Amino acid sequence: MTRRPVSMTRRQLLAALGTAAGAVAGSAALGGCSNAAARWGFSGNPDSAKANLTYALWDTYQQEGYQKSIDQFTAKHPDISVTIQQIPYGNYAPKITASFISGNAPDLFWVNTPFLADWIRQGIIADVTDRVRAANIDTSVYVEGLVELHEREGKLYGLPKDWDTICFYYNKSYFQKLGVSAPTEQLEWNPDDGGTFLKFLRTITSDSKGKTADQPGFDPGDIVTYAVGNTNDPQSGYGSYLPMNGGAFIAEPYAARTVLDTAPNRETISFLSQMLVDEHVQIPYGELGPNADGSSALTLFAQGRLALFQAGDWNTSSISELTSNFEVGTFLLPRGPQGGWTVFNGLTDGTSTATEHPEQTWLLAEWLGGADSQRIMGSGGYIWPAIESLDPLYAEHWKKNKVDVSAFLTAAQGKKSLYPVAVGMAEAVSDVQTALAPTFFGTASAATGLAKAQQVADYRISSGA
Amino acid sequence: MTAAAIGTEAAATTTRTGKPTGRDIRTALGFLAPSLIGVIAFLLVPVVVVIVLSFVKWDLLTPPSFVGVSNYIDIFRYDAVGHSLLVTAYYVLLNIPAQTVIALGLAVLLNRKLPGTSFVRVLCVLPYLATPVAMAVVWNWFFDPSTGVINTLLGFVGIAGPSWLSSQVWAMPVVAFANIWQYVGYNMLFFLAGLQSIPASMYEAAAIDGASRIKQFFSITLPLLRPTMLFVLVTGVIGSFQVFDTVYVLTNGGPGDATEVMNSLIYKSAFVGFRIGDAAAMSVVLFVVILVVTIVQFGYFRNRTTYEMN
Repeated sequence: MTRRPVSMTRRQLLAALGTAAGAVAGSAALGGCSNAAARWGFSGNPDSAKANLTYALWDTYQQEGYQKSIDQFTAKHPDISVTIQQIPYGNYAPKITASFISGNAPDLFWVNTPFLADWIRQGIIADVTDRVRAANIDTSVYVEGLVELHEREGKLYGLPKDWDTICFYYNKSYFQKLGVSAPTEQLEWNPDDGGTFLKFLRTITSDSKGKTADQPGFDPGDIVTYAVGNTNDPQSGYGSYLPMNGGAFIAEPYAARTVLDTAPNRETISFLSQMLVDEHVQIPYGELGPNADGSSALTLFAQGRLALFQAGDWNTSSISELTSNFEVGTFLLPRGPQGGWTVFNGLTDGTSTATEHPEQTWLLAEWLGGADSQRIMGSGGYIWPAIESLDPLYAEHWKKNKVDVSAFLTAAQGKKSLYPVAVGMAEAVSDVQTALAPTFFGTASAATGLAKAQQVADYRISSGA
Repeated sequence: MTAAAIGTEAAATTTRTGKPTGRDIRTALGFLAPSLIGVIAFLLVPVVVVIVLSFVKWDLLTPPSFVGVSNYIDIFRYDAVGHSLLVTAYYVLLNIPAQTVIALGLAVLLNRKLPGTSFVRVLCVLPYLATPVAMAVVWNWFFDPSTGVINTLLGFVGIAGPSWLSSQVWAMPVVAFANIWQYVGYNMLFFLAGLQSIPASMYEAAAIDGASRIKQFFSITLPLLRPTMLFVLVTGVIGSFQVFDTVYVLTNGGPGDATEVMNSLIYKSAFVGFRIGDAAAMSVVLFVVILVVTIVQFGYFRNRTTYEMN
């Protein structure tokens, strides 16, 4: 047995540590590429004849509908089984990205517009252009604007499944109590005096003695029901108002910078964050959740603290459940100096690039983008189907349940502003919300907030590209 | 002891202070291996990895690229790390003095043998046993502007409470309050232990010399608690600089960036933006800040006399 003296200089030790650190970092990187979980035997499918797919989504109401649709799909394809994985929206995007890093990603997953660009760049969502062509799918059946939401540089990343617009839900019982009827003609606002919109909002803001904001003796310190709860949200909140005054969030999809800090936007944001608050018709932004993001708006509407709930149509199911003590109607957002607009958005299903069953996953994606599934979803009142001819199904379902949702369809037929899309947009949207919060809380001007928002959003977009 | 024996011992000492042989080192390494591997794998390697990562741009999915120090510049320009450090320091200033004074006060009050003392001690430590995230959810209900207990109670006496967690003025004090409530009992335990190690004879002697209770507190209790104070302050300040859970649940950094403490910013960069390099650079910045503050604290206490009581 030979013995060699072991001695290590500090330099050698540091070198060894460096190598070790490098090795750990390197293996972490490798783990990201290969399916680490499967390598350790955690996620194998013992029944190799059957493809077990995972389908990730966030909406619990729609989950019910999609389960019905998927039951029909699996009946047609007995060799495929599908498990729905529900992830709350607040954590959805990070969780999907993380699941690709850890190697146990869902095969098919909901994609909201702000996530799309990042996921295309990261290579986790598959280009389905050729598959759509091979399957002879006629994309002209979809509501105009939807296909381009899910496209980049001429490539399609998923079939449209649904669409949404923004309108007001209103509390019919409260309106009746006040003797006010819903506007039959679209209201109008302008940044100078608020227009007929502001006048109308005054008639539906009331204090504890039942006096409304347009009546003498109204006590603004004792308001029980506020007219409206606009929010610090580019989709359900201020987003639709920007184009009404000639502004925008981003000039075009995948633009290199936002156009937030402009004169028309400063007017619009001042109108929403100052004029409506000063006139006591807007609920204090402080009651609308963290950074006035609107997370509490539905509850406030159900409690009767808000007369109007400015929101997207995906809320209809939860509204009909939460507001069983009063009837609900809908009407259009007001039009501004540049006409009536709505933010228009829709979801698609992204097919994973890491799936072990690309053929079966595509079959499911094709099913969910097709007429059979959208008929189930529309007639169940879960979504406005992306296939235009099926839209009456959704309206009929809700008519039977005493909610007239036709305003959303009218909005979809008018001028539409697409949800902002660019690489880095998911984080940009969240940073813009943070930057604008002081403006909505009344501690910063619209100009300050928008300048800050544009600076950080432009950085996110340019550094992500 | 014989001369020979002394000689042997001297020889042994000489051998020990001489150059260790390869065998010695191997034996030593063998014995040290378990803890050495632990320290390297779980302490040194992660620290080195974080420092390395702070110089790359990486989203964990696409290949990383080396970007030099640009992460350090960008996080100050675009992620408002400077602002976040101020917010974190503000939190530490709200938290530590109040927490320490209340903990010490409680410890002094409870350091006597009265009926029910043990029960009250247990009550004081109970919040520490609660899960911070669960408590934050409860505080969220308490501080809800329209349905919360706090504003309802304030309403009874005619005060319209603010929207606590949506107020840029109030959000941070509420976060600090939740954490003070949580950790005051824990710190009290250390002060209690410290107080009990002070001999009663000191107080007796002081009382005989005519020192008042207050004089006794400042001349005996506080100086003799210095080692305890050092421990409580150092661990408390480090913990406060790393606050995350309560902020995440109560405000998620809002309203605006009023409670955007460093760890919240690091979390968002790493797991919302998947900007691992930026998050690593922020972690290094936070590490340096905590290191400096801790060194200053040690320096402050080192320059003051500590008393051994054996």
